[in-house]
Amino acid sequence: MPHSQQQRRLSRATLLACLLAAWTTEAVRGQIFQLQVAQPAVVAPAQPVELPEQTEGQADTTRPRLELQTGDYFSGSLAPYDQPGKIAWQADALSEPLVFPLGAAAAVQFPLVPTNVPTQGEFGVELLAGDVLFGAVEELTADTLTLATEQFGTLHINRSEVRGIERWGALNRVIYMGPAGMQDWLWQGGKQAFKSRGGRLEAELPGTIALTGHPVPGNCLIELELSWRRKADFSVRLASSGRMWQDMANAVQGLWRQQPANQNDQQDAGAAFELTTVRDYVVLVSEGADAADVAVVGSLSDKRRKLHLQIRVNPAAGTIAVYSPTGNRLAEIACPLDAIPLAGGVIELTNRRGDVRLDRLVIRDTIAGPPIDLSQPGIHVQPSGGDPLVVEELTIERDGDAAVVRMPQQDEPLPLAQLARIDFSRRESASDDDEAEQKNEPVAGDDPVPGDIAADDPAARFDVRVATQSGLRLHGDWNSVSEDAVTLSRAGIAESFSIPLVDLQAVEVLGGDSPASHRMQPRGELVGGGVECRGALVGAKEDPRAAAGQLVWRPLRSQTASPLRSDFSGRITYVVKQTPEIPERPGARRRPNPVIDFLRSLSSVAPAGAAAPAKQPVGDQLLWLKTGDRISCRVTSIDESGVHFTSSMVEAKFVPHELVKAWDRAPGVAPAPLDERKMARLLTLPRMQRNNPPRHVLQSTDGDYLRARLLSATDETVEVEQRLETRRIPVDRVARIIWLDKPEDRQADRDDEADPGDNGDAAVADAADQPGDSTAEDEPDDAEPGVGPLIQAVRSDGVRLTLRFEQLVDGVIGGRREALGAAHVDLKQVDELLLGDAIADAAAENPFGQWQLTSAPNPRYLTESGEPAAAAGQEAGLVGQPAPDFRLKLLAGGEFQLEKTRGKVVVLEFWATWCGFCMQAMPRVAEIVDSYPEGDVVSIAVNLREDADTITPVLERMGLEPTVALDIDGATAEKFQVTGLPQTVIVGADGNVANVFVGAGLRFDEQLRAGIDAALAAARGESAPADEASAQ
Amino acid sequence: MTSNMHRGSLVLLLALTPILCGVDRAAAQLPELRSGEVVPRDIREMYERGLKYLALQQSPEGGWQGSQGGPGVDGLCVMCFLACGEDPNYGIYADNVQKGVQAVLRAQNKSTGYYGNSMYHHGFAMLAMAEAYGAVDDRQWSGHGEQLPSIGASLELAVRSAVTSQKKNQLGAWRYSPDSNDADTSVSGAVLVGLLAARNAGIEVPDESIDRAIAYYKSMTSDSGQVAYAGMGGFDNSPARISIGSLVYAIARRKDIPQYEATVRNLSENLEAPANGYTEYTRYYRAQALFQGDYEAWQKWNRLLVRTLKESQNPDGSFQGDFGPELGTSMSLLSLALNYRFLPIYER
Repeated sequence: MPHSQQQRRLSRATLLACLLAAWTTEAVRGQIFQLQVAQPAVVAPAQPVELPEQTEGQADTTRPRLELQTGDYFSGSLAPYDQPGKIAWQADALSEPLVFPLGAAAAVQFPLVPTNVPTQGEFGVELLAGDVLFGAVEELTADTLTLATEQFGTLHINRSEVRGIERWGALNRVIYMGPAGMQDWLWQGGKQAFKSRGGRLEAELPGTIALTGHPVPGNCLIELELSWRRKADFSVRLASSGRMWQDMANAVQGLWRQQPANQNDQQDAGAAFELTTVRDYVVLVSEGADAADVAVVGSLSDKRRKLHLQIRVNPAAGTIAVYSPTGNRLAEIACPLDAIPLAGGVIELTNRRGDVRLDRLVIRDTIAGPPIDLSQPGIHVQPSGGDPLVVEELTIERDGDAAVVRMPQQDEPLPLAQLARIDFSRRESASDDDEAEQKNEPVAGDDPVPGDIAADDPAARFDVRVATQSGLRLHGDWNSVSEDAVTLSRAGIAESFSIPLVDLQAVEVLGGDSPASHRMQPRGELVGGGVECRGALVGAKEDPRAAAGQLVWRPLRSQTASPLRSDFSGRITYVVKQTPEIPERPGARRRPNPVIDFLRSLSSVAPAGAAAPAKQPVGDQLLWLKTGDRISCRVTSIDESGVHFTSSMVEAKFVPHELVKAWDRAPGVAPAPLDERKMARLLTLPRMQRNNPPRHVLQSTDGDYLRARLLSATDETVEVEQRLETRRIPVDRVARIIWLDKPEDRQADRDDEADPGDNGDAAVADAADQPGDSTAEDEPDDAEPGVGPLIQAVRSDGVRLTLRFEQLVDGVIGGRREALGAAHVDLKQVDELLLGDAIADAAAENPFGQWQLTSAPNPRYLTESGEPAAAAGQEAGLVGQPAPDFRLKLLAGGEFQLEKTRGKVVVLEFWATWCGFCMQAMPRVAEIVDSYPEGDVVSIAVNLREDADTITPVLERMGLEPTVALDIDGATAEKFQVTGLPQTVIVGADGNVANVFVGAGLRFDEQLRAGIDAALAAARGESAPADEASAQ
Repeated sequence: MTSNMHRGSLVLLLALTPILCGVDRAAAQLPELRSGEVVPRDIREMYERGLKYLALQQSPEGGWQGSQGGPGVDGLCVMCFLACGEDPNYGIYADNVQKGVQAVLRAQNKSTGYYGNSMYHHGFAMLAMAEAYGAVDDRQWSGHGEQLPSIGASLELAVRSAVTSQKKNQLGAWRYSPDSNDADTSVSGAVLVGLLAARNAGIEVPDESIDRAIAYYKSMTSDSGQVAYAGMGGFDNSPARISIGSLVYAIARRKDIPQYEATVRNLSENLEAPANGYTEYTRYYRAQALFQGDYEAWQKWNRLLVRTLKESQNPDGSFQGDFGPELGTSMSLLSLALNYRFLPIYER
């Protein structure tokens, strides 16, 4: 009821003060954003704006999702089912469909498919509950409206269901009708606050969304339905065109802190209107550059937490008025002209510290006057041209070719073609809100929030509310699902609707069971594969498949159980890890709260080797295996082959050393902390011990560490070998023994190669690679033999067992583990079951992974130039440099000059008769060189400082016939930096030194060959193949 | 000279003790020690696998032609067979032994007495012949119509060759060639040990020759026990050379000199020190040097040796090495052969 003028002014003044106060504290108010005005003028179906990725909810948005009232959800698809009252769902993670009573479901969401085509039809028939059906009106009798729709065929609708009939696009052209998901809405600010549920947009966090792509004309009629659950603290705003929304990049990045957009506040021309909650009131404000006006629309009702209003902006009159749905004017203010959006404004919805849901928003471009006052009885008829009429009765029938509207009170029937709109007054419709109006409250709408306590609501009659991709919104009863369509029936419409599955955007279940009403004792929560739901594993007694290697899961509220798919990857959590106590709101799903997540992440990281809370029976030990398992057991003895133990969990009594990672003899004892330096020292293997590295680290109960090689253990003593001495330690002093991985690399040995080493002697010393060496220890293959999936059970006492699932009987999981035999775990003790990839991920976080020996680095030897020695064959500063030219006499007579061989690959071998290794190397070099086509490789044996008399007999005796060049004074050898014999130099065809080999060790042959190959290839202009030899 | 109770320092010889005592064993028996204790089974099995490999690799002429071939290699391989305790004349490896010895003899230069083509070969061959001398019955070999010298004669000639070479050498030691004028401790070790073994076998070796060689070694040994290679450059750490030095002092019965103590100490304090290249070669000498020098150290080191060899023995019984599997196997087996005796010999 409007206040008296006086009261109005007073309350205005007070409220203005309140409002100003409220505004300055609004966090949102501080945000200055710029709106991107969509293309104006053309009011054709707006092209959806190119959106950055905006997600609906948290799960994978490419799969349809079933959400239950409990908050659980399943990605998957609707499964065919033809019993009413139930919904069948094929979850991606399960192999068979689940059947839920319809009341257990909350909604089904389908991925958004932006469609350009809004539903069209000649007429739009508005039903109770707000649905609109499009089609051609054929007939309207006293009982029935016959509507020919494209989608659903001809429908016969009970007249009492109809609220209005409107020629689509005639009068008040609809700019936007929705919402139907987030697709036309842009959000801005930090975490996306608004989510779509059943097409409606709801928010529990502060945030703002704006409707883009649908510029609101200055002359507009906006119908708004909002609801909330806890607290109403929001505002709806029609912002003028002067504002631009912030660069979408900011929104996409989801910055927490708001970036001040432009410093140009001045550009902010204000808002045509802002409808905002101020404590318990709803207030309408209009604000321009110089002037502002404010009015109270009404007070918020605690009982009916919804708002249903129509707002009319009339620039001609300079007013903005708010009406109830029945046409009562609730408030009116003056609107500053400069605030009116001329080129098209943008609707923004902001949630502050409460929660809000946008149920309905219809924006019309008004040509005609204010909304019809439907509190007057009768039928309101609006012809296309002419004045509106109010009649008592009305029918539509065929008269010859065309249809006419026959109104008994009128003389002339109105051709249907001239009909713009018919409104049936509320009194004629099914439900009414008289009392609400008399109580001076803002009028509640006719379709309250499902799940609300509100009674007497037309929508509550129906099972579901369906939103289609094309923007249609329908209430109905869930009949059946076929392979490709959903069939709804609806009281008041004779025919049933068949909506193709591909057209479904969302299904919202109305009036579902509240979550609290079903207190089945859920055993665990299944997470993974697009599913997050509570439920329980089904034992063999209920479902024989559970004894055949299939994990059968029954979600809470489901009437069926289904085996998990064999490729399922995820976890079943029975006990959530310790987290700080955050009280959850009843019925609220766990939603991402960064603070909580952070706290959770802190507490769930266990310090390396941290002791488990003492939940296990006293005396039980833990055996950590390399596979990631930790089994509780009692070790009886250790010998050189492995560990002997007894365990109630597994069948095996022995496990070889290769599989063991650690033995925790006293799990309750926390390890003494070691700082990084000490740890590094403990794990550094001195060069001296490289051949005999310690294989274990023992940890005493006092916190001392001992590196040694474990020889054996009994239940009294532990025998270790340390530096070749055997020691005995009483076993009760040992808290833990950790098996070390072998020192990781043989890099040290390869470093020895680079060592120029002994003078005059063959320096290249290939450390003998022990043939039996294995390099890094690989994770044991998890290709376990067996039937069922691989699962890992994690107990609260730290025990962790991976096994191939075979059966679940009487609450005990039974399976098999290679190397451990049959294993079983009692589900009651299990905190979590991991499946699929989650196991590997868990194994990756190996608490003992840091216990690896690293070899102490080798000293690096410097060459003469002061550079560190590089890889074999590439050390000398010579490599890559042009080979020094020289000219020497040959033993056989004649001369040799290196320059003259440019264009060929040359192998120079520096040698002497007194060098035994040269004697051995020369035949090998000869053999290798001879293996190349004649003339490709030139081989010269440069003799160091000896004369023919010395050389010749030796060659004869050796049976060698190389081409010998005599370096009598040794100058050439010096040029080539010969420090050790034999030294072999490969000179490429380009005259540069390609390789230098000092000595002729075991790999010399292949290295030489590789070097020659590379040089030849380079000579031919090909890219050299990976030069292994030089990389060594 | 055939009958001796006191053989050279090399343990291998002790394996022949049963034969010297006149006990004729035809069939293979568990090699027993003076003390009567049995060689541990894992060592035995390793050793036999290695022998099988060598037996297979032996050429019909009796030699081993790997990447290194020559009388030195053949000699080392023959010693492996001799060390196992099998009767070299009637045991299961008799054929291998005989052929091997013949191959060595054949490789000797009839006039100079030089085995093979390098003093390495000469030294090891001399050692092998010294071990075979008196154990292997060479009286009735039917050769291929060739005239092979007796082992004794061959040894004498070989000793003379080595001594002659030393005389020419200004350092009093040896290098690769008999005519070398320089020396290094590695070649000299091979030759000197061979000479000492020959002396212990009863061949006459001039004292001054030994003394001069020992003097050379003393000059090459530092106070810390490091043994240089060839006098050029400093002392880099080489357990092989230290072992050689220690061994020659020991079997030349010069345990009195400080250099001996230094080398032994160095060895026993660095039991885990890896070889500076040349793993098998180092192993071969270190086993003997430790055995002679510090028995307890040897026991500890031997445990490590057995473990290492177990891990590295190939399925065919061979051991890989820098110079090929024949040398790798023979040197590894010989380092293991010290297990066929538990009591140190010549404990003074």
